[in-house]
Amino acid sequence: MNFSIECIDEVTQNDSSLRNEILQLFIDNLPDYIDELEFSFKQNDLEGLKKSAHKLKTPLLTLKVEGIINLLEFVEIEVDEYTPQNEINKTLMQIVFGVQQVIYQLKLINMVN
Amino acid sequence: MNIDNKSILLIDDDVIVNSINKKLIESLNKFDSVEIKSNPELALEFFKNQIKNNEKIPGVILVDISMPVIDGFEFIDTIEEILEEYNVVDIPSFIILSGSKYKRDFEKFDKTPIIQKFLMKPLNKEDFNAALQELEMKS
Repeated sequence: MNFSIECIDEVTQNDSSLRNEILQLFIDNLPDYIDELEFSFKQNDLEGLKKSAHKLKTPLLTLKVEGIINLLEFVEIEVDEYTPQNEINKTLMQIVFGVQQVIYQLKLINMVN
Repeated sequence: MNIDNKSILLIDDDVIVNSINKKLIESLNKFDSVEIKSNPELALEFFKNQIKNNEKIPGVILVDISMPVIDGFEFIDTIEEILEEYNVVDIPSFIILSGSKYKRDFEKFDKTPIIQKFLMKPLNKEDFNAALQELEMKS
């Protein structure tokens, strides 16, 4: 999964402890955002699903995870009551898998620094 | 003068974004105070208290659109009402910071003259500095 921590480096400069602190925020919070997304889907809460997609998109914009951002924008903007459930489900699975990969890679970066 | 131009208020419900943006803004050395409110209701309460107690209000308000309970536009509408109610003449500069791609949000921005800029997330130094310079030129 391609992403960039350029935005974080711009802020933290050469401060590795601050960099780790910010990366840890992603590692700690992204799983909760995924849970909210999945919960809204299971509850058939379309409005909640769109809001959760937007919420998850925000930190991923910082990491420039284009592949997942596009999927989240599909859920946020294009999904409606006529979108087949299996299509939404498939998209969510791709999103969850992608975000989990990002979290894993962030953990590796944090371990190295 | 009710405004503190060396103070900025960030309103966003995302803990990650708030943390990064606070550090980014602090690194610019343009503000003495960078205040964060993680929900617009808290920000409204803060704003109202400052005005009631005749304390200075931040010169720049950076606000997200999509937030629970009230969104960024509703927040700004309410602030306008508060400023009017208390006859506050000096108006802070409002900047929207959003990841929204909804046409309706850009249309609302166009129809809300009190909002001076619409910046896209993620915030970066270059765009933010340019926005601040633009605001300085306007004032």
